[in-house]
Amino acid sequence: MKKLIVPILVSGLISASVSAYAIDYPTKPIDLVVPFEPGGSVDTTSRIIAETANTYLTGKGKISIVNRSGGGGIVGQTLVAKAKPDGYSILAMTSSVITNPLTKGASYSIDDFEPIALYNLDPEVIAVPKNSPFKTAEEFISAAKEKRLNIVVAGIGTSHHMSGLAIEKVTGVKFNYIPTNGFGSQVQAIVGGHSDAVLWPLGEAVEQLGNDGIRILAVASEERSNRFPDIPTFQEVGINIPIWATFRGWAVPKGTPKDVIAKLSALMKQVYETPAYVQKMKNSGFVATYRDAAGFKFVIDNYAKLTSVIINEEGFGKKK
Amino acid sequence: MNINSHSRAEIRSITSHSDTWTGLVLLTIGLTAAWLANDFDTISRPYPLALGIIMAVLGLIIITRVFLNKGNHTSFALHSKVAVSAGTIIALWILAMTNGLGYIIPTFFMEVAFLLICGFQKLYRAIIVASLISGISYMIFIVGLGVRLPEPFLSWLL
Amino acid sequence: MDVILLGFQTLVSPPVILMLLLGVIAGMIVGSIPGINDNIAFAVFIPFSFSMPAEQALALMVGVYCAAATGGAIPAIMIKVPGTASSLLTSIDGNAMARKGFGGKALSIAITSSVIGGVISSIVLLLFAPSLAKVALQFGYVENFALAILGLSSVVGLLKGNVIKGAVAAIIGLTVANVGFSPVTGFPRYTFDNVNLIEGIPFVPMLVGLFGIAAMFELMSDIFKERHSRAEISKPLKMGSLVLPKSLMRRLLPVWISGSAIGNVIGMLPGAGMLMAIFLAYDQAARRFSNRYEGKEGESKWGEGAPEGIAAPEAANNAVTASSMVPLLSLGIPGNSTSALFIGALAIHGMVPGPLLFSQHGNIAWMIIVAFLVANLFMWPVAFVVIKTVSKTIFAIPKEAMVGVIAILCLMGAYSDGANAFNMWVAIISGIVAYAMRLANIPLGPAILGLVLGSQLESSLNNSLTISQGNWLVFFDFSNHPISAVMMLVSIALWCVPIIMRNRA
Repeated sequence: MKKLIVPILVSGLISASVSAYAIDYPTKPIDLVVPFEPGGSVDTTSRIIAETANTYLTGKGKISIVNRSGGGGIVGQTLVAKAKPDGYSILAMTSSVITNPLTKGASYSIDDFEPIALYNLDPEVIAVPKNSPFKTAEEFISAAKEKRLNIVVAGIGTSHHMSGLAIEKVTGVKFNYIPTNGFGSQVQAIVGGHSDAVLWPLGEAVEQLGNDGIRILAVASEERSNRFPDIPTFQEVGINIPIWATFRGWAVPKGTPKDVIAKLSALMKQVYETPAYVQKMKNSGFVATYRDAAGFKFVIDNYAKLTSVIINEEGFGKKK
Repeated sequence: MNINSHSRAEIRSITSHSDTWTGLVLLTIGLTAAWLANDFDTISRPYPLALGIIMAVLGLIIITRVFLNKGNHTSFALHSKVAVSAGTIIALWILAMTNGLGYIIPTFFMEVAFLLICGFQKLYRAIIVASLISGISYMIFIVGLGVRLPEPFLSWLL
Repeated sequence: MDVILLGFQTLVSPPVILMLLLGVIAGMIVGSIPGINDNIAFAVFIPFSFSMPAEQALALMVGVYCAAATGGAIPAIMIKVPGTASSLLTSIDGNAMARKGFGGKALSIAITSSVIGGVISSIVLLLFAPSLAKVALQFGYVENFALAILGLSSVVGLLKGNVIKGAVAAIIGLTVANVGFSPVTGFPRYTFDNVNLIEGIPFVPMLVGLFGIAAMFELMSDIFKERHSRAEISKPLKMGSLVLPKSLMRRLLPVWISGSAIGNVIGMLPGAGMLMAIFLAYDQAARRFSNRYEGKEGESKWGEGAPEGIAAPEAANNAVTASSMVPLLSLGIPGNSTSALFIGALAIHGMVPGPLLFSQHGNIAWMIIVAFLVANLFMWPVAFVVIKTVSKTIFAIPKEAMVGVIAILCLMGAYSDGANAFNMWVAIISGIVAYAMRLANIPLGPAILGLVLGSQLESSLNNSLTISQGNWLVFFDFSNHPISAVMMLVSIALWCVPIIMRNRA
């Protein structure tokens, strides 16, 4: 028995000391933890990234996707927050990492993570059914001032609901929120004309735009999208919110060695610079982006600031 | 005197009737659910509150029916023995596996325990069957389907 | 017609058809392991699909999806542990029949019903996919509420004798469905500050517990009883013949047709799902059975081995698999969580479901549809091979060893849904609860329905009332919501007819 343990311990020590210098990281499979069920947008994008990234990684250190769903993402997110900070556990991070500790009682905090890179930014859009009387965002807002419109959102306290609250705040309108669980049911409600409008991320709205089921009135980004130059931004139509976007990126537990982070960040950049990857993302309805660790941190901080005000005002997650 | 003993027997038959306990459990759960629901916000409250109260009322009805001599009695004795023993074995297995003993060791002991409880006479046969089940299930789930187990505290434990 | 031919041509190239066959075999095996469902199979498989051409990857997924729903019936019948949620109800009459020594007949009914349900539904998909898709869009919040009520009303058919305990079961299910964030305000209800509960009690582990663990307890108490009474050592179950007599086929034909029809309609509606379909079909079959056969010479009671009790849910669940592709392919609306995975698989290959799929990738879209038909035809021979091997193995395992085998299957099945240890606790506690309910004569069926429909009931009610500005009569509004009004009237009839009949008799 001893004979067996000793070499393992020694080799363990050697590999530990080597990875501290991060000369040859990765030496074993890297877990990319997707805290949701397979098949969703985070899962799909993660798999596209892993596929491309693995063409650059040689040897044993390839990325493998691990689905750890449960508790609206909190189970998988907590798992990474508490994982060994050695670069072998990466979280497919979404905006919910910021709001979950505040609204859903997740035990980690956003400071338990170290951002690596951002790969997709999905601005919020206002979309209406194809046969809706509202042709423009201005018409929509002025109608909302007359009477309360019914707005489909993914759930109360979600990023989409909060974007609606933010719109209420800057324009003075009031909405009726129709919390609708599941993307399928949301499409059904909007394309079927059972509700006045929906707040969606652009990536999901694009699918239905292509199918000619909806009309997008405005997008919450600083500039018009290259793909849809006809869709005005929120600010152009008088909704004073410069940007409201959910994001997807990579994060590792706090304390991960600096050069491991740099290496992963560089890997993501390499992926982003692969034309086939960009095309694949586009085909699946996502706009590939790249922001390095610092740029990602800026996006995170900005989103945290925007949402924390609303969360405090509305008292989400607190017993009323 | 006669009447007295008769009613005493009746009381005993009521307290030992399975439906009395079913009713009591439902009453307790219903009231607890309703009491917890009382703390919910005004919009989320009425529905679970109503369900809790209905459950409690149904529990009361079931108890009343025992007094009216309706409802069938079933004995819980054997069944609670089954649930407690199997539940304990499984709980120990979960604790062992999630606290770093790996898959093979806890599974092997769980299988041996089940085999012995279920009437395997010879220990050596139980050991052979248990090893087979542990090995095959390891091949199916961990090797074949790639299920990720919690890290064992010794890296060589399977 | 040309397009269908195009889809057929894409399918018949040897690698594609081989993948479909492989998918059917894999799905059948995956489905027959409790707790391991098609979702998990897809998650394992998706990484490999990258390197494959789209048509091969999708053919394989279609095969897995169709066959998993059928494979689930095998353990449901043999050991009373449903392999997938879709075979919950099959385990009742199916296992009862197997215990009487007609396991082969039960399996045969299950497979034949699955194939027939699947074939009917694939033909409907093939002929009407684009036009049927519009039906799904007719369903708004009001209609969804009425549908949930209709689903709950199908409980009536499941109640036998004890109405109070049936009601208790439904209330338990509805209460448990309340665990998690309130759909209306996001308030955490009954979560006890545990993050694992904020989206409700995890469903797959709960089902594994309610059926699998409870079945294990039952088996153990059987063994204990036998030893107590020192009765003859448990004789192994007999498989019996696999051949279905013609008279039985003729008798089951109407059940197959109605089961497939129910599966077809329900499958198209997002959020309704497979469970609703099997319950409605089961209820329908129960009525037919009690009117025509119950109490006759040589007939078992309902729930104790009635052939209709196997045929109806099995025809319905395979009808759902194909019809859930109707809204998915034509509108991009996933009908259930498994068909949502098709969106992921299509996305990985750069395709987005919806009308555009038919114009841009017509060959793939039609290939998927044709593949459903072919997969169901493959399933028939494959199922019998799997039964001969798998079921023989199950029968060969001594009863005493079976207890431990079921335990490990259930625990790993629960755990692998998200690789979360919490799930195993959910499974064991649900198992104990289900066992206690059975002892207390509280039926499980209504509880499952309450569980499935609970959150839909509350949120669709609230959303309907928001939209109607608090008008409760909206559900009976024949001019604006005719579908809802009809469903509500049918629900009322389901409740009233048995009462009137009883009073007359």
